[in-house]
Amino acid sequence: MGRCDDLIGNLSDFIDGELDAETCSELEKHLAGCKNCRLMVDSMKMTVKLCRDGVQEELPPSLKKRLDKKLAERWKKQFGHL
Amino acid sequence: MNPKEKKTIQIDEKELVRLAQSGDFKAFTTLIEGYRPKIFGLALKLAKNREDAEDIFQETFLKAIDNIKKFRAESSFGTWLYTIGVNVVRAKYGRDSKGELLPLEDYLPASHDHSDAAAAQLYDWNDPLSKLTNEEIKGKLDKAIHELPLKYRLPFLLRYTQEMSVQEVADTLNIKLANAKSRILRARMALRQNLNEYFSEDN
Repeated sequence: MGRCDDLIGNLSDFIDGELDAETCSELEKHLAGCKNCRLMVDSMKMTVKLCRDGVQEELPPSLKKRLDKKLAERWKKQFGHL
Repeated sequence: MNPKEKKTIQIDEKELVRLAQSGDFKAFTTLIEGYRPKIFGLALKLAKNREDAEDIFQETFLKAIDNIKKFRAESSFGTWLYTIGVNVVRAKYGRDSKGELLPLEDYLPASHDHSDAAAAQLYDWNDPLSKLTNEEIKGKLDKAIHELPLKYRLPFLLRYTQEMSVQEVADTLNIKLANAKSRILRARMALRQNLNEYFSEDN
C-alpha cells in the first residue's frame, strides 16, 4: 500500500479505529513516510472532533413549551385522552 | 455502558413503547425526552433556516404520535424516530436534493506519488485553529456543513453527531451499508477540504 489513492477508501475506518489489524499496519507504514497523508488524517480527525464538540444545542424553553402543547393536542386527537 | 445496563434500557424502552401504543401519553413523553435536544441539534444542521429547523423538529415528534401504533420494534425506537425525522427533511427539501461531491480521488493531497496540481492543498490546522475563537470555529463549521449536499450531510451527521454505527445510519436512511460507508467518507473528505480553505494560514 504505497500510493495515497490505495488507502483513501480505508481512511474513515482507520480514523474511527474500525480497520482490521493488517490493513491498519500497512496504512501506518504509509503514513510514516507521507507527510501530506499525515496532515490529511490529522485534519480529518479534527473535522469530526469539531463537529462533536459543537453538537450540544440548548432546546429553547419557548420551543419546548410549544412542542409540549402540540404533542398533547395530537395525542388527544389520536387516542381521545391524555 | 455494560451489556447488562444496555439490556435493562432496551427492556425499559420496549415496555414504554408498549404502554405508549396502548395510549399512555406519559410513557410516550418519557420515550422521546432524551431525543428532543438531539433531534433539535440535528434539525438545525439540516434545515436551511431556524424556522425550518423548528418545523422539522416539531413535525418529527407529531408524526411519531401518528405512527406509534405501527411501530413494530424491528429497529430500536431511536432509529425509528430518526427515520421519521429524515423523511420529514426529505419531504421538505426533496429526497436527494441537488448537488454532488467530487470523486474521492479528487480530495487527495498532492504528494510525492500523487502530484496532480488540482489536488487538495494541505495545511497544518493547529496554528490557525489556535487563533480562532470557539464562536468563529462554530460559524465556519456550520457554513461548511450546510455546503454539503443533503444526501451526504445526513449520513455524516447521523454518524458523527448522533453517534450511530454505520449500520444504523444505513438502516435509518434505508440505503445499503456500502452506500452509507461511502457517503460518510466522501462527506468527511469534502468537509475537511471546505474547512481547510477556512483554516489555512492565509485566511
